[in-house]
Amino acid sequence: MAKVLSRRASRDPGRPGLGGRLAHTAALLLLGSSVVFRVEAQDLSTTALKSLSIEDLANLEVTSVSKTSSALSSAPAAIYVITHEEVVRSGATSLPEVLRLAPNLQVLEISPSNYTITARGFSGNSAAQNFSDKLLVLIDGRSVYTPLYSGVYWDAQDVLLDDIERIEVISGPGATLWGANAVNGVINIVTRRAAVSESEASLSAGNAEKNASAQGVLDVGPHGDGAVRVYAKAFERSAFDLPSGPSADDGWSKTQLGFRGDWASGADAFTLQGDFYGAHERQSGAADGSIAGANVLSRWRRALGDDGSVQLQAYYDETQRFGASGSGAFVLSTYDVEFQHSLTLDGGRHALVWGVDERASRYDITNTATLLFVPPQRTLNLADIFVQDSIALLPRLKLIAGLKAEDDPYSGTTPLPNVRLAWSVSDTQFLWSAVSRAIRSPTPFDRDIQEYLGGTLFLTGGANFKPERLTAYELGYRGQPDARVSLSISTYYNQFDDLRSIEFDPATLIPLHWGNGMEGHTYGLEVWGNWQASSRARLALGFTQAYETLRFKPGSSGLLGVAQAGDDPEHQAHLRAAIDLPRELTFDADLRYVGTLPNPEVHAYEELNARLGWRLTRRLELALSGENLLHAHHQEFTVPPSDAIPRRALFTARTRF
Amino acid sequence: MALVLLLCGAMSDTPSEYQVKAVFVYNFSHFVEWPSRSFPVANAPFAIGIVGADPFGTRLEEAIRGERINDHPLVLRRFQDASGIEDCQILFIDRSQAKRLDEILASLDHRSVLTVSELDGAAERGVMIQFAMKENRIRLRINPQSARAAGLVISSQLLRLADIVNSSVER
Repeated sequence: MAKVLSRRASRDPGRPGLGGRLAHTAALLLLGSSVVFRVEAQDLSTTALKSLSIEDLANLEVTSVSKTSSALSSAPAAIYVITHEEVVRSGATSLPEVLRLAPNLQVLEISPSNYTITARGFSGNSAAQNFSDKLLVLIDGRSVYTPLYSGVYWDAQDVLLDDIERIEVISGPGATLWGANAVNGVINIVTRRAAVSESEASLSAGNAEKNASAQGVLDVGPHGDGAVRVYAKAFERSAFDLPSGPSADDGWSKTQLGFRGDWASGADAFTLQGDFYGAHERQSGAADGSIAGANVLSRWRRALGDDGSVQLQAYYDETQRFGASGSGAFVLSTYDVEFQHSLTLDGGRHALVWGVDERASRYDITNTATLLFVPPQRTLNLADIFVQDSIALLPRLKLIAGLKAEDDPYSGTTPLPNVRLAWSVSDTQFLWSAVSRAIRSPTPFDRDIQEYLGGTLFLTGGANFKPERLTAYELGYRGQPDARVSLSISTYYNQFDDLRSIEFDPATLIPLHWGNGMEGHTYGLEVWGNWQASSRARLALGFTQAYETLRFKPGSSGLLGVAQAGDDPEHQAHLRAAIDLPRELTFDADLRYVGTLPNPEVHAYEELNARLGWRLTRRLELALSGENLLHAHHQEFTVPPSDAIPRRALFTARTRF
Repeated sequence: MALVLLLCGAMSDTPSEYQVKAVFVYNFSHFVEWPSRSFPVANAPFAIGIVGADPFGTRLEEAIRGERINDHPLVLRRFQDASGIEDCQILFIDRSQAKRLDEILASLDHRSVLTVSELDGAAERGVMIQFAMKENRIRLRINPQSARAAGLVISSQLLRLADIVNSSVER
């Protein structure tokens, strides 16, 4: 099996707060005068606001005098939003580590450059060549899952974390509006507009990594009505150890540059952005590999009368992965054009969105002696057209009906309907339910591969491999039982059919081929909540339960068992605290628990991440952060080679200009 | 932490609209340049005026208390209506003065006063900085033409954050 591909194949109601900066007036509180306390309390918050940069002020969410409480999101889906502040206060230095903040995701760390991320199960089983492949991941509208096998190469996805505006993590099939592959979830990473980005430089070093980054923001346009940001980042990640003790020798280093420009003119808004990266990766027990890539994206949006808008987006994305000669490689180029139009009809009773998307992915694979894609060069065409109507049946009850027709490279056109109900029970309680269809369409890995073992062809792609199908039933609640407490509860029942399995050749047994011989159901519960304990302390709690019952259809070989679909824990939980301390200090801690992985077995574990931040001046911040503090090593996965994940500490200095 | 417990229950966590607007108005004094003729003497006060009702409560006073800009102490002045407006460097025009907006702006002609308002469409009518709300965040709408005509220079850092607006054609 080509080391390059198997090694890389990864297995898959927010509140900004103030970031508290108590000034010297905190000392006055110690004088004990209650009158002083009352007046000073108000001074403290104005003082805190005055120490923010003007960009931060513009990004701050405020409560309007006219509203009773902060707006409750009325999205009819199980959505967790990771805010900019959560990203910064977590001390995370990579996207997968940031994604641990979402309670509805499973994040499994395998090596310094390899993670498997999934939602609602199906993390895959590398021994069975099964991978997390049911997630749609977008960065500023650009789809980053690979069309070769529908997984995500997490080592190739990166942004300057300080530029993240928010990350919307939706567990469950994406509604009609999302693109292809949104079967178990959607991760939508959105970066800030250039105008509210910050010029800054940052350096950090620790026992497991070294990072450096810098960003500049410039004005453009005759009246200063546009801005451009340009950034560069570079890092080195040290190798981890194998569970048996010796070093896995899998460290890596990466450099990335990029820019984003935004302009507005009347009702029009334009964006142009791009990134360029290269990385060198040492691989455990294999020759070094390297990856490189570049992308450029342009977007035009015009606001129309009556809350309508049109948007046109086009992007080009190129990815390359190389092993040393003999261990396979590929180059993949993607062109995508997408148009969306949203409008209201019947005095606002109907909110309609429709759009079309056309994507062409051209790949060129250098085959190895044991894993071949036949043909090694191909262009895949994916197109979809969708329409969704949000109908206000009653003032507080909306019916959302959507239909997408997806035309996949191998399987033709599939209609994907979904229906949702959204009921704003009150200003502080919201109920939603949904029924949806989604597919994970065939990829070149499903259809075109040939694998050789000892000179014999032993596995081929399925000539008739069909899309994996999902019908999902979901029900959810979101509410603010109290002004300081928010809660979200979602349940789901997923019926799967045509899941990938390994089948015998009817006449000769070998070669085996991919078939669609597995089916079954999964169901579960996702709960998370926030408690603003005081103006300076916030607690967050989350847990998920998930159960899978999969079986083989009559006639299927049953080879490798149902465990091949995913090695998923039944329980996951986290407890998080965010505390603003006096003297410009902030403290954040995140305790997580991941249950036992059944087959192959991985022990349940608890781990703790924490960060102490110190804002010395308006422009300089220092931080000391640690990950996996409870144990010297722990295991998150056993896919060989899967490393012992170490305890790590990092010291960061960041300055704004 | 004892200090954390002391502050329990002191405030809600999300700042209020006028808390943040008050700090914005304070910040404008740092992001705009006034011509030197605005200040007759070296330490003449830098005045922020409010004409009409005061929506800030004590917030704006708190924000400027004890502050100086280029050695000019910041002070707050309140004016009942258009006729009573005295010297100031920044003038906040309250909603209650909607019908008299044109009159107020005309009276400020040839004076280097930064006008700020929340009235809808104020920027198109010549107010230099208008507050708007979008998705629970405060947006700035700036009319740089107006500012230039008054001899004021708005920093590009502030312009970059804002939606730029041109004056509508005179009726």
